[in-house]
Amino acid sequence: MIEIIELNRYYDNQKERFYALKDINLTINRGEFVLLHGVSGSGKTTLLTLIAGMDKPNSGIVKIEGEPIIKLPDQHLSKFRNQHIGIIFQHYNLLENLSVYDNIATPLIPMRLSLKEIDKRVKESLEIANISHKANSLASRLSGGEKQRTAIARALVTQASIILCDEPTANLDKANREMFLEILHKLHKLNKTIIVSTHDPIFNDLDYVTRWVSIVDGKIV
Amino acid sequence: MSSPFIRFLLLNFFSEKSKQVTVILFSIIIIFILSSVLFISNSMHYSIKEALKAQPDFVIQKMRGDKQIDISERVSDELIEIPSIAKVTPRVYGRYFIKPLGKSFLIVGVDFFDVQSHRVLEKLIDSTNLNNFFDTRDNMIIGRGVKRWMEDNHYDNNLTFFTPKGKSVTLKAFYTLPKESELFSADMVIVPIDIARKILGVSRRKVTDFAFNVPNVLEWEIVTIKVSALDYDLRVINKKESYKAYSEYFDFKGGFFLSIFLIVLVSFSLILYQRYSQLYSIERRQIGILRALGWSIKDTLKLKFFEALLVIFISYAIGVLLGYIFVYIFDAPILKDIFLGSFNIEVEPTFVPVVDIFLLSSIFLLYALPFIASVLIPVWKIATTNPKEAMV
Amino acid sequence: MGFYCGWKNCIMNSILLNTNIAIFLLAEWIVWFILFIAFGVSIYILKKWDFQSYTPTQYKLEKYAYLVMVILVFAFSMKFILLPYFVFTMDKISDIVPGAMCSAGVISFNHYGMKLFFVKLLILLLLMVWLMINHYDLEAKKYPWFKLKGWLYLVIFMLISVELYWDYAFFNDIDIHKVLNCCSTLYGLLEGVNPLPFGLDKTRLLILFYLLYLMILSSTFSKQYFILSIGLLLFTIIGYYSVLYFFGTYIYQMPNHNCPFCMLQKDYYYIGYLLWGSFIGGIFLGVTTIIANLILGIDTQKLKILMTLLFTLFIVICSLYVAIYYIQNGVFLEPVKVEMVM
Repeated sequence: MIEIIELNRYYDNQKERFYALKDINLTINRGEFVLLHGVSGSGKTTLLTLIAGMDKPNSGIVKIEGEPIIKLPDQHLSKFRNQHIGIIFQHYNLLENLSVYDNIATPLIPMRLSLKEIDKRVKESLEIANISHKANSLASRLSGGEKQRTAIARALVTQASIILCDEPTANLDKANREMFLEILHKLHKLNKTIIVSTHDPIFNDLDYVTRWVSIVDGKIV
Repeated sequence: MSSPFIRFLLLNFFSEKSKQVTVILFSIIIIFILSSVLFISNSMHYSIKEALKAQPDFVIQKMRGDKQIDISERVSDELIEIPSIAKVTPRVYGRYFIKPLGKSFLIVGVDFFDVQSHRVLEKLIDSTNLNNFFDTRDNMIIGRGVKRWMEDNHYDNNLTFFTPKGKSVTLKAFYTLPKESELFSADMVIVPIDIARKILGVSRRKVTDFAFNVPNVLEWEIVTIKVSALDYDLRVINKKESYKAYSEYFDFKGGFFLSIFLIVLVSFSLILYQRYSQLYSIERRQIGILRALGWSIKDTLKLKFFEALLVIFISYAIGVLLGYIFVYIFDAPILKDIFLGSFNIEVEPTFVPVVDIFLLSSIFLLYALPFIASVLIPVWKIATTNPKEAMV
Repeated sequence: MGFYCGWKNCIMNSILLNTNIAIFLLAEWIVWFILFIAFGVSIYILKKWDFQSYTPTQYKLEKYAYLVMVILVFAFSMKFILLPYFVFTMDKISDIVPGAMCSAGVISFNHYGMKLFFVKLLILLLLMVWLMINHYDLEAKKYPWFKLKGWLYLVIFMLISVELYWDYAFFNDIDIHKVLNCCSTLYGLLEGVNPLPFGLDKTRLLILFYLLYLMILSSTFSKQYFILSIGLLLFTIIGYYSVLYFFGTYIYQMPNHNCPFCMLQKDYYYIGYLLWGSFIGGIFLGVTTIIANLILGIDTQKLKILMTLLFTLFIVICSLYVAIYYIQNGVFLEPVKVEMVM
């Protein structure tokens, strides 16, 4: 379960204070599929980064599975993120100089697993994301859809219970978007909590979306 | 450090070789020069020590002003009276000037009956040759520098010396001293002691100096005081002072080199600092991604520092190996002249390989420590990139 | 402290041009300089640290804390290498110092030598303690020992500054024209004088040696840290004298050779480094274990196991030399009465 209480994130410049997020209160239960709706700059990405613990708020609390993550020291926060949260970025954020296999294995390294266990998990993720045939290809040589599927496999490999997606379909063609939705649906069936930040209308007609959250100018409406 | 981590480190490192190549190349050159100089210096210290092992602990000379003059044999009787001194060896040697060169040979007289000289000589040539050497009276044993000079000046195997009395003495080169001793014996001409007296004009009742041993090091100071008290113009030199003098000479050269090296080191450190700071903008996205995926600051610090250590290790291994080959296999052309430039006759030494962990630590401390110190802050900056950078 | 006597020696001694000494001093300077940066950062962090705060400054401070950590890991690693390097250097310059046969003579040349050596050991110990506290501080969720770490670092930095001055003063004060004492003068047995502590004889010394080892092991694993402290303190003294006046003689195979430094030389296959290294390492880990358990309240299995391994290695090396000598010769070494040369 994700609990967000009175969350604020602002930036002070010379003249005024700009609120990226203001007084956000939100509770997301385990297994929910939540869509964050809003135009560019509304604060969706900021909210995702705060939930993932990748940024620090100016005030407020974020609790995940009862653990208040904001004030966790880096060692604990990173470990928590590594084990509980998988992230799919808008621009994929793959390590271009490494292969698909090695990209997917990257989040497993801080877990201190054996090479054998890593190999098992990577292969499972490759299957789910339907990208096994490209395991040895360099990430720089993949198409947009293939990169996105690699990113999905990487988000799944740690067996995280929460998947965060930031504009996941923004750079995909129609066929790849539909393929992406299929995989997302598979994940939802595995009882993962999924939060997608998007303004792509393809999500509007999905029947397995449990909640729509609209964000306008940093506030939930 | 787990093996997946090592695998990731190596994969990442070798997939981005071009980033590291400049630093590695510079490092190799620096370590190569540094290790060559230290190998030469170490080798020379070792050769000096080995040569001095066979030398007597004390040498007594007679001085007039600042010039050494021949000393009466009777002084030996007075020396024997001092307890702690067991046996006194009279020595005859001196410089014989070759007019065309303006240089000189060192004529060393050897007494067949003298055990001390035998021991020294036996370090240089084997005993069979030594016995044959003393069989005839017109043999000489020469250093390699003398041999080269003879060949360059088209002397066959014989050399004629002129005595102060105007007579001539022709000697045959019986044996050439081995390469290993060239540092000290290059300009030596070893002859029977009475031939040495003839050539150098040292009378029968005199010698060039006396040599003796004092086994107990704690008694050296007392012995020095007692011997000096025998006569106002006696100079007492002990082995450690000879070693010190050579050491200071090479240390001076080493110190000079080190000061130049320090300037190079400072420049290298600044370049490194700047280079790694430049990498910050390129690498922060990569680190941002790793942090977003759950790598902690400790993990990313480990990654970046081990990358730097890999650069150090690769450069160190190649640089030291090249230095070793340059000095011990090719005898350090050009560089050796810096150390040996001021010798009497041209010396072409063979450097004895002397590599110990102390030497390797010295090279490491001079290179790796400043390297790590220079990149500490830039690497920390990169490794502590906010994971938010991955969202940009 | 130093300005009067430093001024007397202000003309640089040519021994400082010795390659190894120059390298050593340069290395010490660089490490000090980096630690100076950490010192400045530590003061800044200590002044502004407020863990409960949500400000960007606090988040920045948490990052700076990692810089201090990185610098201290670097310093520890370098000091760890520089200590044996210091000993090696003294060994090398014993060749040019009259009377000295090994580092023993050089280190006791002036009043800086032994206290410099002990400060180096103390610094290594404190760095180890700092790294241990830092490890557990990062593992805890609220940085409970942050200020303790900070103050400890300030103490370490002060000591390192003193060490740097003493490094320079020690080497600068070495007069290579003056005859030194060698180890037989410093550590030799004077007739009629018992050098062993607490009036012990050799048999009792050895019994105590092995008993204390067992006491340390049992008190460690039964978590009796007060008894462990006493055991460690006594073992430090008894262990030192046992090596000097008993086990060392078996390494040299000479009953009257009582030097702690000669066994660091090539002639003895550098066994001294392993022997003293395991002894000192064990003591340091023991102290660190006590601090972890008594002050931080953390049970440190890894440290305990490592300490045990090091002490066991130390005991085994010591005992093996005696055993091998006995097997080869059928007898133990007998000390010979020696009169000091006056």
